[in-house]
Amino acid sequence: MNAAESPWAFRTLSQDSWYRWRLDGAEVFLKNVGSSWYWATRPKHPEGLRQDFGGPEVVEAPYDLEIHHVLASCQPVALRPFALSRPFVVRATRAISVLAGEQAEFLVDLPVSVHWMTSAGVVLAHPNTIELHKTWFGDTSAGRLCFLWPTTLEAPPNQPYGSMFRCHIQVRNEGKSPLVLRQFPIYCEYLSLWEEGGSLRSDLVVVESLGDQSLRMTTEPYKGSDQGLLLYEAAVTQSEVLFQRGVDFLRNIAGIS
Amino acid sequence: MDIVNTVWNSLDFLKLLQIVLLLLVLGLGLRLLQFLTLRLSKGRVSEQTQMLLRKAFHWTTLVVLIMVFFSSLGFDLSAVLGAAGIAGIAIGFAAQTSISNVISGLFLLSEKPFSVGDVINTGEVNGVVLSIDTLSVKVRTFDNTFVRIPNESLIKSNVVNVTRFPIRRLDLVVTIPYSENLARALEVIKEVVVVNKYALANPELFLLVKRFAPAGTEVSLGVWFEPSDMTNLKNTLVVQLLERFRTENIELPKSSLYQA
Repeated sequence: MNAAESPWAFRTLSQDSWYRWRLDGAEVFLKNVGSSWYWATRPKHPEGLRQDFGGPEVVEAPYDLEIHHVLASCQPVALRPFALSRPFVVRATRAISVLAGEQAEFLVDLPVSVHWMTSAGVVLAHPNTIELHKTWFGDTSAGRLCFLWPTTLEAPPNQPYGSMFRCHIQVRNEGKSPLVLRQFPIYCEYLSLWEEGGSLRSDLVVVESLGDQSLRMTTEPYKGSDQGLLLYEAAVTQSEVLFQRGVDFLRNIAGIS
Repeated sequence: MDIVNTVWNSLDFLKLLQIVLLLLVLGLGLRLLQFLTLRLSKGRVSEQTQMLLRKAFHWTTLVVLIMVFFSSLGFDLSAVLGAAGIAGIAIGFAAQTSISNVISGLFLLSEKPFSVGDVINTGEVNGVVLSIDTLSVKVRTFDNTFVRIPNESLIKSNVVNVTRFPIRRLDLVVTIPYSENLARALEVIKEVVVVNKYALANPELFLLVKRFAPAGTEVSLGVWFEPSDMTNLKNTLVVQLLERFRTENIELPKSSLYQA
C-alpha cells in the first residue's frame, strides 16, 4: 500500500458525497459541502474486531446513524490516528516471573482513536470508534482509571489490524529478586505512531524493575522513516512523566511490595 | 467634649505626625506580613484556610492599630482591656453556640473530612459542599436546594464523604429461590456484570453467598464503578440482571433484589 492509498493519507473529498472509512469492524463517515462537514460513526466492541481496514470510499448516506455537523473551511482532509488519553491494561493469563537480571519481551496490538484533520491542522471531529470497558489500576484508594483491552501478554499477535498499533514492550528486571507480572498498564498517550507496510507501530515501551523495589517506565523511539510518522510525541519528557505516574500503581500491580 | 478639647489642645502637630507615621508603618508592616503569609501558604493550605487567615489578619491589624493610636494619644488602655475582658466573658456566654461553631469550623478545616466539591451525606442532607465557612457548611442538594449546616452539628454527627475515594462499590443482594439452580444463578450474575460497560473489570466482582433466608439463598454482589457512572450502573445493572434471569428461566421471589 503506497502512501497515497493509505486510509490515513490526506485527500480532497468530492462535494456532497458521503465517504466511509472501515476500521476493522467500526465505520466512520464524512461528507463535505462547502464549509460544512457532516460526520457519523458506527463504533465497534472489542469482540466485533475483524480484519477490514480501508477507505475512504463513496457510500450511501448513513441515515441510521446520528449525523453531526461541523463548520470549517474546505480543505484536503485525512483520518489520523491518535493514542487514547487513558492507559490500557493488558493482562497475563498466568503470572509471569522475570528473574533477576533477565529481560522479557512482549508484543501487543492496541487500538487507536481517530480524528479527522484538515491539511491546515484543524481537527474536525473525534468520532468514537470503539466501546471499551473501564478498569481500575491501583488500589481502591488511589490509582488510575484505564481501559481494559482483551488481550494477554503471552498471546502471539495476529496479523496486524490496520486500525491498531503494534507495541513492543521490554521488561527488564534490574533488581535482585524475581519480578512477577500479572497485569500491565501501557500509557499510550506518550507514544509516537508510525505507519509501516500498511500497519501502525509505536515507540518501544521499556519497564525496568530497579534495585530499590520500584519500577520505572520509559519509552525508546522507534526508528521509523519520517514519511511514515503519523503522530509525534516528544520522547524527552516521557520517561519522567511515566515514572511519576506509573510507579506506584506498577509496583502495586506487579506484586512488588 | 471637654476630653476632646483637652486632647486636642495638648496635641502638637509634630506628635500627630509621629502617630500617623507610626500607624502607617505598622499598618504597612502588618499588610506585608499578611501578603507574605498568604503567598507562602498558597497551594499548601485550602482556599477556606486562606480566607480565614485573611480575616484573622484583617481584624488583628484593625485592633492593633486602634490600640496603638489611643495609646499614643496618652490614653491608659488597661481599664479598656479589663472592661474588654469582662465584656468578652459576657459575650462568650451569649454567643456560646456561635463560638462552638467557629471552633468546630476550625476542626473541620484541620481534620479535612471533606472539601469543597465533595458529595456528603449527613443522614438528613445529601449534596455537594459549596463552602466551609466559619460558622457553617453550605451544601447544594441534588434537588437543587441550599442547605446551611452548622459546623457544630457536623462535628457531632456521622458524615459520609461519598467522593473521597476515586472508585466505589455498589452492593446488591439477590435472593435465589431454593427451587432454582444456585450455581447457574451465580454464573449468570458474573456474566451480566462482565458485560455491563459501567462496571469496572478490576477490582473484580465481589460475590458472596450470604445466608439462607426464608425466600431463598441470599447472594451479595459488590460491583466496583467510577462515581460518575453510579446512576448509569444502577439503572442498567438491575435491568440486565432481571432480563437475564427471565431469559434463563430463573424465577425470583418478590422483593428479591435490594441494595445492601
